[in-house]
Amino acid sequence: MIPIFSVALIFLAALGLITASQWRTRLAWLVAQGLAAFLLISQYWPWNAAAAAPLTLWGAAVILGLTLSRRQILLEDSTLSGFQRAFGSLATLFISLFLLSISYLQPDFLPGGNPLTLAGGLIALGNALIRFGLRETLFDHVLSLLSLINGFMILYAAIETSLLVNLLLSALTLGIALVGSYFLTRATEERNA
Amino acid sequence: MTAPLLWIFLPALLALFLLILPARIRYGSSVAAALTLAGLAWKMPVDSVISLGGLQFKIAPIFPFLGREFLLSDTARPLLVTSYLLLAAWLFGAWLLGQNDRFPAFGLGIQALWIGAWAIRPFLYAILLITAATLLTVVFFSLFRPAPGAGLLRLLILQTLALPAMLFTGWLLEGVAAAPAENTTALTALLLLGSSLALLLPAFPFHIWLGQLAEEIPPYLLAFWLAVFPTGTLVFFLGFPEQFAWLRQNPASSSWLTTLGFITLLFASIQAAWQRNAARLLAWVGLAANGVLLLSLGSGVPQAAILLLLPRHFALLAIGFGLNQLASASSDTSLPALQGIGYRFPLALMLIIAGIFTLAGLPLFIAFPPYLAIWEKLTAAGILQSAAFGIGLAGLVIGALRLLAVSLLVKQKPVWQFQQRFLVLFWSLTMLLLLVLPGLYPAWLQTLVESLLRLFPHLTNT
Repeated sequence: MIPIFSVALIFLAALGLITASQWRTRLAWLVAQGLAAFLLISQYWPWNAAAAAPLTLWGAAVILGLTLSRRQILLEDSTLSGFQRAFGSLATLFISLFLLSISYLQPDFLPGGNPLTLAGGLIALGNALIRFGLRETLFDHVLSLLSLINGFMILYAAIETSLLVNLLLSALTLGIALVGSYFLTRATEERNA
Repeated sequence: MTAPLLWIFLPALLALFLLILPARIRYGSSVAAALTLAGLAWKMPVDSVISLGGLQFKIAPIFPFLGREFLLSDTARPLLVTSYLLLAAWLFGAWLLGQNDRFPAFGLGIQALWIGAWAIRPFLYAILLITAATLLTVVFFSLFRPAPGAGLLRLLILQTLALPAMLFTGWLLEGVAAAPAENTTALTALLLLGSSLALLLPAFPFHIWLGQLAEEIPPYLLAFWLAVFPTGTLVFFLGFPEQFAWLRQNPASSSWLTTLGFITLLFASIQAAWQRNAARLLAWVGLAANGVLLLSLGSGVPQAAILLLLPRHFALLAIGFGLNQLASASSDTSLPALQGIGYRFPLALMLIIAGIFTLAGLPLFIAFPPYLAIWEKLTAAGILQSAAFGIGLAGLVIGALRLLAVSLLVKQKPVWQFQQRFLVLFWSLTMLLLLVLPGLYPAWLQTLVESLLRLFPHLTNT
């Protein structure tokens, strides 16, 4: 039951990240994806090690949230038209269904043969790739990168339990959030100048 | 004391320390640090007892770290010497050009991460350190514009995409190593490995950020990136065929590398031939050189790829150093803005032209012997391949000649003048000699090249 809920949450997060206009809403969906990742990863790792993935993603969301709220940062216009929303939703739906079916066709791709873990990771990863093309603002690119690495952490948890890899992936997640935060600050400084 | 502590962790710490040093002594300190690290690598054997006065000690090759390890054996010393000497050269050039004073810290940090990437075991984890190096680069490059440009953002995205592909590849390769012929996942592993290589180098079609980035950062720093990252990527990727015998013998990997190499070379060559911006010309020349590296691997002469590591650095160092002087003196790097500039900066122009000619594999230059080896292999494979290689290299020569023509052909001939400082002139002449002399006397570099080849004994049959 928990894996099904997690995959559904990842799909909803992907849908939210592609259709929401408010930055707070998009960050909330990223946090939701982190929760789903934790539920999937905890099938393979002890819960304290599995907590690294969501905690770093939430840390990244906090870094971006604080940057956006405290510094009066002007985000580029990210309002979507009705058509763009519909297209984004349909793209997310089709991509997710396609990846879900692949996961059931090739369940042995990951050790242990759990198609739902494969589906969860692939949906997060695939939709992050789609968003690079569909949402073009700097903030969205940073969110997509974070989402992509988190999706990958779900898949990789099933095949590798190295502490070093876990640590480095977490450090990279936080590094990308810091770079994104720095970029957003500089972009605003330029617009205000 | 362990070798990884000395040549990875110490430089990383020094990089942090450089950030808090006063700006005026950062360049001097970093050049001295890089030269010291190179000297230590040259003189101090790893895993042997060293006597220093009455003191006896041994540098261990392995440093365990969080359940994994960093390994720098004695065979890696030539690579360490070369890497830190080249870093010192890049930093010295940047010092003369008056580049941003954070370059020493970032340069040393990036180099430490690359050496860490080569040393980490299992070696597929290197991609995590390579991505960290990319993050450092992105932060450093963002200092040159009020807001991050599209090129920089694309660099970050595309280089990060290589991370999942690479880690999956490593896992798949371990699975297929036992029975490659019967295993269908071998094809998946090959595809992922190829995609990672194309993303990291970069090769066609993942090069889209190169041209944009060329207009966002100083040419010298773009040249630094084009020299350090693709060569680092190559050394890392050569570890795969070195370790997995089936990968060396797989015909699919050879044909894939050759095809990608040709597409990349021809695309870059066409862009270079018609380019109207000198900074972008540097980007396309770098991309073409990546195509040549892929061709050398695909056509079965990996030795040529290793032989090209040094000439590639020298050529890009020369182009970057020359182009940066022109860019500083002119309002922008478009060809119309550079008209007649060759009369004011003749040596800088010579450096650019000599650098491009080197990467085009012209005779008498340092890169000629490995290019000749690739050409021989391609000619044996078919006249069409040989012609395509020739056309690809000709595009680079056309691009260089167009730049030369624009820089010198003006209606009213100005008076020749040298507007460079003595040290800049000295360094320019040194680089010109580095591009030409080893081409005339290739035996000079033989010892170094042979020791670099020994890093990959299975691949190079040494």
